[in-house]
Amino acid sequence: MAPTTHSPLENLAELSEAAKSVAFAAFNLHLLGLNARVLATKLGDKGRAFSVLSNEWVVLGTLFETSMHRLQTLTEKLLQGLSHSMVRRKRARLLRECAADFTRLGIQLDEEPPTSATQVRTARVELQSVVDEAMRGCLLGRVIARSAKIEAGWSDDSREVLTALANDFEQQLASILPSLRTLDVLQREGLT
Amino acid sequence: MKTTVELFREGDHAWVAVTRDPLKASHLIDTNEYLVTSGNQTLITDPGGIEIFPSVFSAVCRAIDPRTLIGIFASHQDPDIISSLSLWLELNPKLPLYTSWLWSSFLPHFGGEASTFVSIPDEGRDISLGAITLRAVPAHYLHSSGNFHLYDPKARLLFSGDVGAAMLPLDAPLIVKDFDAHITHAEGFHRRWMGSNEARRDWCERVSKLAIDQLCPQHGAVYQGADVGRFINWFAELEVGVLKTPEALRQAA
Repeated sequence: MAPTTHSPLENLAELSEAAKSVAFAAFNLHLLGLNARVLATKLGDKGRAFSVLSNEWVVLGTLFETSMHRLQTLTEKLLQGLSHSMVRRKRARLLRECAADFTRLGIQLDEEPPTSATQVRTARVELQSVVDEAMRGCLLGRVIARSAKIEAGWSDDSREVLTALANDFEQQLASILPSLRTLDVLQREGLT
Repeated sequence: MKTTVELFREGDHAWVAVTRDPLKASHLIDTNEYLVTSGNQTLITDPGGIEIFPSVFSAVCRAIDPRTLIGIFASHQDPDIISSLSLWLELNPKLPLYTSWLWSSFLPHFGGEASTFVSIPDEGRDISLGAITLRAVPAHYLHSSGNFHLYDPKARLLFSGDVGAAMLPLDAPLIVKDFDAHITHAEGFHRRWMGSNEARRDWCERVSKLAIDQLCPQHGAVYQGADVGRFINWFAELEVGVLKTPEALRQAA
């Protein structure tokens, strides 16, 4: 991906889609966590270790959902802020073409209001922090998924279903990572 | 920011209204934009002016992947319809704009290359979108001299530009619930803005032959079910366009 070759609006569209895709996967992760907890409860004593992991799973899913809610709010803020900024830049570009006439008339051309630029900068910093947090969550999730697979291997009568659940969890996590990377790259390079 | 409301969905064929921005400045007229999607192709109708672009774009991003936009439909040439053109072309410089041939040399003042403008002849034309075909229906002099509405025969939905528009409070619902109460907000607008009784009769005859479940104007609220027929009958009886005295103009405003 080379965001700098796209227009800011194309990058914004890509950012918005990446955020939507991560939010969808986070919702699925939460559901899988709840499924795992129900299954562990059904297994009773035999599923005690799995139950501990499934609780971690649910906590992680909840954290992801909260982060992704923040991510969506921030994405909307950025979409608003940056498209406002784009409108102003477009106007400024046109006005600069007659800057000499304005100067002759003693009229000062306005720069972009600093508040808007600050809002966008703040939203970008927050976005980066959410993306970093989500990436750390993914790493932790992978550890939990691996532990769950090992634990599933010890289970006699529920090995297959527990393994399948752990695999689903791992796949959902894997599906989040590319979108998080896209968000990371766009945030760093594509939104100026 | 604007909100989005799904008006129709059948599989991957959908109409979504982009509407009602509670943060909109009060001196700007409120607008409804519509996203028509079939498969992975979307067309936006009357995407609005420069000032509301951030709000519209943000809502569009929420409803669809904006990279699926393959065209813009402009019912006519007004600033609240299409002055944001150059900004949409930043998203995709190859986006075509379907509009009356009459405006093909006027609208470039808002931006775009010669290839941007796809002229619609006076009698209208079909516009392909994914698996469906939309029809640009003539509505000349209602109010613009080169004016089209957009009909989707599969969704039985007519995007009616300024026809059916109403000047409503910002918190009014998107769907008309009480026709008699609603139409009082539409009357002054139609009397003043619609320029020709002949054109009005012609349009009423034309659209009454179409199967329409929803009539979706660019301002105000959407008419559904029996209210579509009620609106067409009401409009067919309304005297428009000939307001002779300043007093009559003031009363109609």
